Amino acid sequence: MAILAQNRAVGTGTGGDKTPPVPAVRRFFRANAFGYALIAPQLIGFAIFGLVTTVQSIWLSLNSINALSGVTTFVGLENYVNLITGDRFPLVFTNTVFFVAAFSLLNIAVAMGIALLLNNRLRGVNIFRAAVFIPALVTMVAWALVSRFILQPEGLLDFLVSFTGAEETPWLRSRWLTLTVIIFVQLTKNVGINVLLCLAGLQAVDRELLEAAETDGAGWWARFRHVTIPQVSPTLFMVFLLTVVASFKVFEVILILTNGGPGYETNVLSFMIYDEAFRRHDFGEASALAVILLLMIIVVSSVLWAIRKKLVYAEND
Amino acid sequence: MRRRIIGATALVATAALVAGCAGPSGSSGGEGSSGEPVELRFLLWATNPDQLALFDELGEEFVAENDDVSKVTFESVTLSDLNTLLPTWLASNSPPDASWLPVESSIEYMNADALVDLNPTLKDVEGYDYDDLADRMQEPWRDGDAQFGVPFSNGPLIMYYNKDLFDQSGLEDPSAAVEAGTWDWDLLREDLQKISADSGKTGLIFDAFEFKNWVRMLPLIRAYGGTPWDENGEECLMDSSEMEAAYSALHEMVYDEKITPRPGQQADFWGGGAATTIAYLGSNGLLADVDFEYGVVPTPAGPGGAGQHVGQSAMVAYSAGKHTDAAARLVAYLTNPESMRKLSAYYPPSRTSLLNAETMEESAPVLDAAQLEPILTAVLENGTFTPVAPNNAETTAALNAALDQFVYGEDADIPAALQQVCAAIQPTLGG
Repeated sequence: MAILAQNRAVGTGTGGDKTPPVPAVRRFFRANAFGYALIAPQLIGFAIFGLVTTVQSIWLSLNSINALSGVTTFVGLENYVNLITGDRFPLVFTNTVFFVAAFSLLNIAVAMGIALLLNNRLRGVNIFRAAVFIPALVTMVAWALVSRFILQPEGLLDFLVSFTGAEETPWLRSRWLTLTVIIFVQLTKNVGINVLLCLAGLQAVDRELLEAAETDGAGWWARFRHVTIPQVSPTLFMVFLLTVVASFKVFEVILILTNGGPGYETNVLSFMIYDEAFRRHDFGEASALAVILLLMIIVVSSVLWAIRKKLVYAEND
Repeated sequence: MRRRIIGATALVATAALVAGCAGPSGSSGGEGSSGEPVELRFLLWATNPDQLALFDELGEEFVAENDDVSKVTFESVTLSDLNTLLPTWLASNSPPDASWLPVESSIEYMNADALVDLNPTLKDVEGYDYDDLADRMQEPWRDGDAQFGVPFSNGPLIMYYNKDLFDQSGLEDPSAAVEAGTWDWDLLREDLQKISADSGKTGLIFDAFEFKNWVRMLPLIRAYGGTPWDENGEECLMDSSEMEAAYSALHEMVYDEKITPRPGQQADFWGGGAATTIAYLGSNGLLADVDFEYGVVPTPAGPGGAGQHVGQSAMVAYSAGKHTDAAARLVAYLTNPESMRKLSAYYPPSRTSLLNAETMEESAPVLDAAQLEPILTAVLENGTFTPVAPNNAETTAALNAALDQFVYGEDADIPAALQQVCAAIQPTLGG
């Protein structure tokens, strides 16, 4: 269709050779106009909602808002200052950084590890592939509720651990341990999707290259390090990037397992936004937090994107 | 021709998107503008189909008597959703016309001028019998002559117990202790330790407490004579000796006597997993499905007396609503003597003429008047409502978080922890 449109644009004028050349940009849009028309509503919708909500959030973050009376007062950067100098933000910020870093790295490592195991042509391997993916089909709420049941004091996990002679552990009542438990719960729920993506990447690895490396005497690790990893690196990079962005927005599992507690010890930024807006009715500070979270995601994503050439093999070409 | 088709396609698609974004055209008619009948939107947190049907019926009666109103829609949401949705709608100037509102939120909403003064409407409606509204129950909603809400439900937190477990341990029935005047927390704790040792079951569950809803601790707090802040909501009293005693008692029950669940531990009274629970009177319907003998009594007394906690909800109209006059009349209609008598089948009323065990029996179909009489007596003699803070949302969030962080842990030093709680919530109080 694009070729037809181009031919029509260039060669159907009545003036023959005297027809002035059509500019490249105009030619491009003529050739793709129908496609753009079809996606226009979606794009306009995204633009409107994305821009309006972002700009509105930034504006709200500069105001003190009495939600009940509807009175809004411009306070400049006061909400940001109050947040950053308050007791809760440093704690919650640190928790968020820990959660995002630990979850993203662990997720990619576990996903790749499982994908490597499932990339063997063994009888019945499809059953395991399905089993890994099944948790991804369950809702996070259900997964977290079941997890809470297992992790509760004198729950199933305590019962199992008691056989080792260990004392009861406060799985959901301490800071770093509980954050680690939350990471584990979130990981077991979501890793299946990433396993599938990694598995798809592994199955696209050029077998001839692997065989050539093997012929040259490369061992398993050398083949994995120098042949497999470079070829799946674009997949790994995208999986990692998406996981990082998603982990900034973790919410349900925190709400159900700990409610951000004890106190704020397992609270993260996305949950604190909810806490500020809907429990404290402080929409100004909640918006400031949303802007901070947005900036963090933009910065981290941009840094990752900027260094992708060092991480992704194909980007060097 | 092709370009025109493309252009038309884009135009139609964009127009469809814009139309979709615009959403419905809003409520029909504007009060006093076009003169056309208005539609009223009322938010509540009832889920029982019978209760919703009763509201629909009352709404239809109201419409039949008011030509300027064409429809009343009752929308049901959970209480936590209501607390989330209302501020959002008020902030965006699109609240419902009227709703239920818990007493905890009364001062915060009144101070923000978010509620309509109903007094002129209530006094203007023929047959309303304003003086029949029990004064003590109206207090949280009155400011001078103004009245910003009419309580329709005044449910006490009461104690439900599993008679079978008390019998199996050879213990006296709690109702006998109530009659003998010996029903207090010390006796209860002794009984529950014996039951837990005998049956291995949980002794007491504070229903819906889960170490994140401090209000459910009020029966214990009141029994020790405690209160979280002064009457004006200005000074934190969480570190008072009474509160120390109350929270020490809780700590002992959780970690030393192990008769009530620890933070995060799940247990269920209604399924037979515990000897007692403290829950609202409105939860009595759950007794219909239990497979054990049960009883109900007032919550135990303590060193501070036999204080009974009463939860309360009122009907209010919103000043930012589009039809404030009609909304005020709707609230008046739903709380007039006849409507409140019908509603008392489900909600303990706030009219003096309806405050008796027989009416409460209607609202507690599983319980009889004899079971309810001691509860009603206790509530009328010693009942107190939830303490209200001027910035309720912020104070409640800070209080729940601080208690969770400092008080509920096994190693907590209660007096020091309560001082930390006060340090956390004092900035949110009115002082």
